[in-house]
Amino acid sequence: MSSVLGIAPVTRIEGHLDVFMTIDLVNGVQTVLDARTKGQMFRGFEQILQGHQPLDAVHLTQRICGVCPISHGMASSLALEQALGGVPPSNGRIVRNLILGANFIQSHILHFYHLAALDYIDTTGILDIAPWVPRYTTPDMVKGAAASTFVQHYVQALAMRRKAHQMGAIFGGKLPCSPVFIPGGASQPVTSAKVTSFRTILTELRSFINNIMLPDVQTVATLYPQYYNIGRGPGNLLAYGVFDLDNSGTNKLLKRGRLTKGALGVVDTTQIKEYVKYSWYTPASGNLNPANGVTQASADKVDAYSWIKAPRYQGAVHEVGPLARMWVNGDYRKGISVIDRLMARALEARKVADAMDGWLSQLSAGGSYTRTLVKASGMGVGLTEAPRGALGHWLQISNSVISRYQIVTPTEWNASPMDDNKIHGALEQALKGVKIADPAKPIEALRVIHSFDPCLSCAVHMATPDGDTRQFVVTP
Amino acid sequence: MTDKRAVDTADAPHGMTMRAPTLVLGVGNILLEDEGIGVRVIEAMQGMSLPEGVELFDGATAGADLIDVIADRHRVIVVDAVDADVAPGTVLRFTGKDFARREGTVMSLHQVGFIDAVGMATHLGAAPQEVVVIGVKPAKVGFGLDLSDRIHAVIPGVIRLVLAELEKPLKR
Repeated sequence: MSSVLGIAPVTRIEGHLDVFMTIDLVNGVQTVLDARTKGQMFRGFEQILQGHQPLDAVHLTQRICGVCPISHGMASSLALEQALGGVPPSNGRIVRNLILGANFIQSHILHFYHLAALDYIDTTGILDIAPWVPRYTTPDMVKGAAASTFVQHYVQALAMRRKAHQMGAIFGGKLPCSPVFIPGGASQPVTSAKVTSFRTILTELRSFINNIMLPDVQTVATLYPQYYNIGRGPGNLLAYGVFDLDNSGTNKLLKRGRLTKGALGVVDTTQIKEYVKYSWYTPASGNLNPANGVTQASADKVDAYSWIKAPRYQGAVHEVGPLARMWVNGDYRKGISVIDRLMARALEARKVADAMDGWLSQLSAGGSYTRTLVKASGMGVGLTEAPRGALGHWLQISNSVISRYQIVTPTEWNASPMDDNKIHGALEQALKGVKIADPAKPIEALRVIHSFDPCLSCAVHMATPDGDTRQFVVTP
Repeated sequence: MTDKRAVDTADAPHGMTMRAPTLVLGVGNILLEDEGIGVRVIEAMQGMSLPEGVELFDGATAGADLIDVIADRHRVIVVDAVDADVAPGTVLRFTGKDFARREGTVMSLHQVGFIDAVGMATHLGAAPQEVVVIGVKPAKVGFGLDLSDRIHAVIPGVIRLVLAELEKPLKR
């Protein structure tokens, strides 16, 4: 008899995601027959933007999430530039790339060491602080001396993330939520001292990525070769591309493109539609391209099970993320699996960090911004990449204010529910068929989930004092 | 007149980062009405005359990213919305040791926020010596940029509490 296994919430991810799996014995092994990912947060931020000054979008969208505000700043700047006709100068383009690159590096280090590695390494007795507990420990995990080395690297990785954050703030001014993103470039002039400070930290990070992180990811790949065959998903990959190498944005370090049914193709955003049959939105919110997107909540909708919409490209489910980017770019085409996602992410960290060193040399002392004036009306699409995958902002300006704003995040692609044709989302498909040794500790499923680096945009986070809270009252 | 607040570290040589010993950190999501009270207090304090060695910082919704912001400080005063069994608009003061222990119920990095950033900074030997939280129980947490009138009205009182904390000498 089948049973339903829930991981709710999934820990060590960004945001709130519940996963429910129907499991049953297949050839004597508990196997996932069906999986449903449930996004627990209503994404209604788009409504807030309506009626605001267009330039506010850069700052308000960065507030959606404390994990990838930089990617939102980039996407909204690009959308506004398309709507307003602005083109950043080389300094502006490069400064934005460097801030986003710093964010990619810190995010990829965070993902491997602090979110994913604990699925493979038993650190009980060594690392027992929140948010790294609770967690599953299973017999197939690395223990002993090898685990101790990982823990040393884990702590070192915390320090490296801190450095990456410092590095991003050199040009970002302040992180999170950088104030320097603006249509027309970046409001941060370049000085040789900033370039020198940035390069000093970058050199240290490159050394960590090359000498510590890549070997560690390789070690996990060597110890868990079976995970090259687990968690494939739909097999379709989509990348908007990121890190413009010229001011027109034609050439990118990581190209735009897709892999659909085994064939590479170009990306035409008019071929994207979001479906809501199984999402808590009104039917009027579904079957639409984001340029005409509508987001109306319908919390009591029958059959719906997620706050995430189901975006599809030409009706097909596509996975987004570092593996999609590296595949489309021709840098990594070994396979699509749990380990392939980890490998592609680490290799991408190296590729981006190496490129950043070259970009620093292309900066010249002086300004980073070309004046860009607001127009009374216009439309723009900003396509970029967050560390965890393709991010798009769709903007419409009418009567000098924002009249429509739609955001399609990477995790909508990866953790979407079924679409109107009952086709499961990428993560749901990747979980199907996964064998679970111990249903009380479904580590195999967690490894698949974490490999996608899901992020469900931030909602509320409030501090809670311990015990009787009234003892802390100051006023009234 | 010397700059009393943030020291621009961008042009300082690497490894010579100058940090204000006291950090006033506002956290919260300004897109969620009263949830943004911490950030709104920081905004209201910008331009005020503050004692030497105090930096104001808008931490937004960051979690682990705050490690760098809080590391190597003597004292961190956090202003945040708090979930407590009190009436909306109530202001609470508690210290680092009063935080709810959440073993077994941790949801995500975000929710964890700066409390665990303190834990991680401890692993790096860079945790602040003192953490004080000035918390406000929200009245309204929905989609919107404005504070409710009730919470807007407590901003001056919260600022007075922060200023009173700043008057206290640093523990050595």
